[in-house]
Amino acid sequence: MESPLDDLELIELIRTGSVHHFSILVERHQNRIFQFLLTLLRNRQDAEDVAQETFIGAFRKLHSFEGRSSFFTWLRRLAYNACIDHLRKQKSRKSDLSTPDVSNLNASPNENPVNQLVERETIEAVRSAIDQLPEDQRSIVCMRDIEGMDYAEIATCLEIPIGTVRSRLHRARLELKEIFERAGLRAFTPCQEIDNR
Amino acid sequence: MNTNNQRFDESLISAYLDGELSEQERLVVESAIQESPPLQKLVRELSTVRSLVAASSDKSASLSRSLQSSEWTSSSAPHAQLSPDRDAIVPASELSSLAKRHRVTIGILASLAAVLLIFLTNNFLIDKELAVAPQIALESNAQKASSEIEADITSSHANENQTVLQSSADLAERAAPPVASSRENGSRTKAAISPGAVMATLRVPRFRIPCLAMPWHLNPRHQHRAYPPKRNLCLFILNSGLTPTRTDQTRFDGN
Repeated sequence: MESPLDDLELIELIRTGSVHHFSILVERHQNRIFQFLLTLLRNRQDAEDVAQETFIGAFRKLHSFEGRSSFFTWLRRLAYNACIDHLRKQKSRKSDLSTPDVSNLNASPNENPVNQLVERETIEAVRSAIDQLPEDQRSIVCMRDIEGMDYAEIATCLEIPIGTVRSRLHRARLELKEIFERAGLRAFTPCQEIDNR
Repeated sequence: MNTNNQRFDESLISAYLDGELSEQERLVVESAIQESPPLQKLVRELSTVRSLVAASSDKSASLSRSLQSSEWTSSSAPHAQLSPDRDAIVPASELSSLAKRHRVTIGILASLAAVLLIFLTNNFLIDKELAVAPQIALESNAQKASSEIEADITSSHANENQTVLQSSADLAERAAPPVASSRENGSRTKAAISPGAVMATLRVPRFRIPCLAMPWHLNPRHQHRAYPPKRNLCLFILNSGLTPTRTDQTRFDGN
């Protein structure tokens, strides 16, 4: 559903009672919100559920949006908070984050099934390593290296200073490096061998 | 690491790899890296970590391709002048060599299977007449059963033929009432959907109800992992009686 109106204009219309315009906002932003949540949750069903909660929450809290940031930035913060709430609730249940969903990888140009298998194994190892990170570090790594958000966006989303983003991200990467080395990931083993010579 | 590097804030390395440093900071980092082999090693390793994490996302079409095009193997990378020992770290080459070995094995096995198949075909082929007769019988039975089922469906849902012919928009409102997905006994359930709507949906494959249609991520139209079009969500919100309110807590207020 395309609309010539921008987000702020749509929000004004919704606030004045034309609530059906909210569906335009949903259509406009649902893909990016879903991608964001999928990055953090790595489970499609959970991401869909939390995305739905996010949009419902956004609709209910629309009057608290003051336009100081973009609507998407505000929405992404809602999504992040909903995601954290979801993870907290999920802690009591058995988490399925340890079995990352790699069944829906995009079709690779390298169609060789053996190559794909090797790649999937490596991907699972990397995801397992990411899952071992503390939540604050894991979120930042996902936002930066998967979502491609810059430091300022991450800082806004998490409400922390940019310097904290930088140091936390660096610690997370060092931690990942150690996990990869402990796991004997081949990407790191030869490097060590060379250095030891 | 010399004394300069002891004062050097290593978290700048990550920011350097991400291109998040000012020009002055970048120069400082580059000079520190040039002087310190341990820092060079750290840069390579963190760059590999960064590439692996990015490649682990579904967004990446191919792990090896992502690694090959990652910054630290790219000549355009900010630290390319460090001339890292690519063969030592990049796993893409290892992946490809492993894949080649497997490819040869698979090729040999496929050849053996083909030879075996030809041998069996020539020596133990069942008489075609014996094989075809039951097949024809099975097909005729299947057709008969299929026509009976079709007749049953047509008679039992005769009143719903109108529904079948209605537009998808109308069906959306009737067949997919606002959905609040929930989980019961581990399975996802949706709000009630009338049998007529189910039949209509089955007969009008272009219309998609999330719980009945092809999983969206298998649909070629969504191979880029687009969020499934959730008309239901909009309907749910608009029909649920929710209204934007000023009385809600502003915990989510991020602006």
